[in-house]
Amino acid sequence: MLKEMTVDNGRILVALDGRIYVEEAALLREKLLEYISKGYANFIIDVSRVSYIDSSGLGVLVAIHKRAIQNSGAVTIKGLQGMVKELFELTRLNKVFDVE
Amino acid sequence: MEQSSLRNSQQHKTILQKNLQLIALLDSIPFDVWQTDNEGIFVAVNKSCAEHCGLSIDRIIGKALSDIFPESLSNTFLMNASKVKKTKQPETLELELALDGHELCWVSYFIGPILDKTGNVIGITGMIRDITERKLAQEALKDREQLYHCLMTQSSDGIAIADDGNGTLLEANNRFLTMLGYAKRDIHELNIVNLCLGKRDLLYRTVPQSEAHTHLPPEINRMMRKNGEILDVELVTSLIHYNNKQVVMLNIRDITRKKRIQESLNQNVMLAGNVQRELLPQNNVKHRLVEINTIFEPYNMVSGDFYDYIWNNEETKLFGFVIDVTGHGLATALETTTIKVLFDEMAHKDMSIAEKLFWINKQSIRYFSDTSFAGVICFELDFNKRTMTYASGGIHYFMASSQELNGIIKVPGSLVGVCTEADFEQYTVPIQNGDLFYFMSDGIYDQITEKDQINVASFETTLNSLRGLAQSEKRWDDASAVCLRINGLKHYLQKYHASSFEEYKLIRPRISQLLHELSVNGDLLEIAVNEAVNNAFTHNYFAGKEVNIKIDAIGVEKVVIRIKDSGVGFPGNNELARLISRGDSYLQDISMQESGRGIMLMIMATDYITYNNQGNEVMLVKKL
Repeated sequence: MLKEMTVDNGRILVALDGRIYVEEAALLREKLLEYISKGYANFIIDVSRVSYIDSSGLGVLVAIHKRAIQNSGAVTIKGLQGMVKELFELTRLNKVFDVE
Repeated sequence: MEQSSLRNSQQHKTILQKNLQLIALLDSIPFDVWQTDNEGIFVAVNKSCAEHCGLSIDRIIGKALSDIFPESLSNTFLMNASKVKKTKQPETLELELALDGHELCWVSYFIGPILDKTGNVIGITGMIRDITERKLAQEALKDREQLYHCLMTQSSDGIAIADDGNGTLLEANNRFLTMLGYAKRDIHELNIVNLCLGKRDLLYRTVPQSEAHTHLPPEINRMMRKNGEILDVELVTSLIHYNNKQVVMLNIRDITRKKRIQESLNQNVMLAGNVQRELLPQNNVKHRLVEINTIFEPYNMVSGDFYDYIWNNEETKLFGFVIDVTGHGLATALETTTIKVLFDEMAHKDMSIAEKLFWINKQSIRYFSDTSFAGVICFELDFNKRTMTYASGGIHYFMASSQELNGIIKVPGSLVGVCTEADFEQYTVPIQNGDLFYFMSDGIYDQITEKDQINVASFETTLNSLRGLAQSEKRWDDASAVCLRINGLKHYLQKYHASSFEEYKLIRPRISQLLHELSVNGDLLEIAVNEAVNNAFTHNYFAGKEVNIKIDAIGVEKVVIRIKDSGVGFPGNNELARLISRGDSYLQDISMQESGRGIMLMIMATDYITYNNQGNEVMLVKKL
């Protein structure tokens, strides 16, 4: 699920892969909220290697994005493709996040 | 006095006896002998001469040559006699005579002088012998020799005679020498073992020794010219017996150019064969609805057979055909390709297969030569209606194993490309999972006998049998087949049960795999199922809450998924109605919310969704 998480110039680079079910989404939420609590507000989340995500995973991304905005930051989604891209478009989340 | 008389009497007796012996000797000679004096008057003739003259000896004696023989003959005799008298040497001549009333004949004529003790010619002896038969035989032999000489010199084939013991050339005609670049003087230095490159062992030893004249079958061989060039030849080796001797005779014909043309043609044909294979559809296809195996075995490099199968856009119908055009070779292969194009053109038309065949037949006639036509069998599988329709255009059989059809099925139908107004009939049978159909050309079918017990119910066994027949050395035609096994018409019902979310996590991968097998929209379907299950375990959760999932694939039309939990439910249909009515605006409203997208995703992932009255069971329907 979480392939890599690095800090770069004050931004958190998150590379996700595989299938993000409800349990993986819960773990991801915990990890990302840790960084929020440490004061990080800018996240770049690479979803190019994600093969499954549902409303629980999307909800986590939205939750982190909300916290980030509250801290004058944002979540950028990178590598949208395949079913993940379709899902973002269906749920209009492609208009919510910055998409690279 | 008495002694003198007695001596005279004894001498007289001796002379008489000798005369009688001489006469007997002369009369025993089977040809004409006579004696004349210097004036040409007969003084003696033998019995044969008298018989040939048709006179008695007494009537000939004292007569002149010209009195007995015809003028031309007697003149010849006198002329020769005159010469012999001068030369005092005998002569033997051969004369061609055309006697009155007799056919042309040949005689050997001996004329010799009779000399006295002083060497003076006192008479002439003549002998005539009929040598007509010998002469005719000589002429015939000469004629034959001339003929055989001309055969050797004027033959367009190279002919050589060789010693059967060591292969050394004894004789060769000009053509042989010219073809190999040698001169007459080289003949005896040549050996057929060295000249022929194709076989290193002595050719002539392969010729059986037991027969009077034995020929090896013509073979293609290579010979080396004097300048080292290689010549491709057609070679016939014969062992010739004559007069208790034997020789080896070689007949060679230069086929170098012919071979090069043939090789070039073969390359083109091979290329055409490769192109033909490339045009064939994929073999050994395991489609979700049907397994397709094909057989393609040209008799030579290109085939007069062809086949194809084409799906409709929705992949619910499969149209296919096997074509067999009369003949072999490039022209036939081109004709098969033309017919294939016509079939491909008709594949997607909204017409019955009989109508398609009718149109194809009409269009195809102009592409066939006067002597060619095609046999066709075509089929269409409709997986929605669960039927197979078939029609014959001259291939009158196929094999099947199904509820309706079993064994060899005979189908009437006109040939394609013969008559513009031919009628074609189609037949339709229901199909179900496990049904097997084998459509083939006569290259395979004609080899099936009553003794062959082909178990059509076994797909693999039958395929192997048909492949064996297609590759058999006994076959005499191109062999092709399209073999089908229906396996996608399952009324697929799969049930899952989870007493906890942890249990569900274990079965979730199997559900994911099944949904992806059933539908190209497997990703979204999986999301819909997971959303429903997640909701079931999340909302109104209690320990021991159970979830049952049923996934039901109805033929090839749709999949129906029911997810039911053991909870109290909720007003699910109301929620559905609310979300459906709000649509996009709902999504905008919840854009920054962490939750609330689940049911919306279920709506978007399916074609139909509904809850039961209690709200603890949701039904998702997706068209396939």
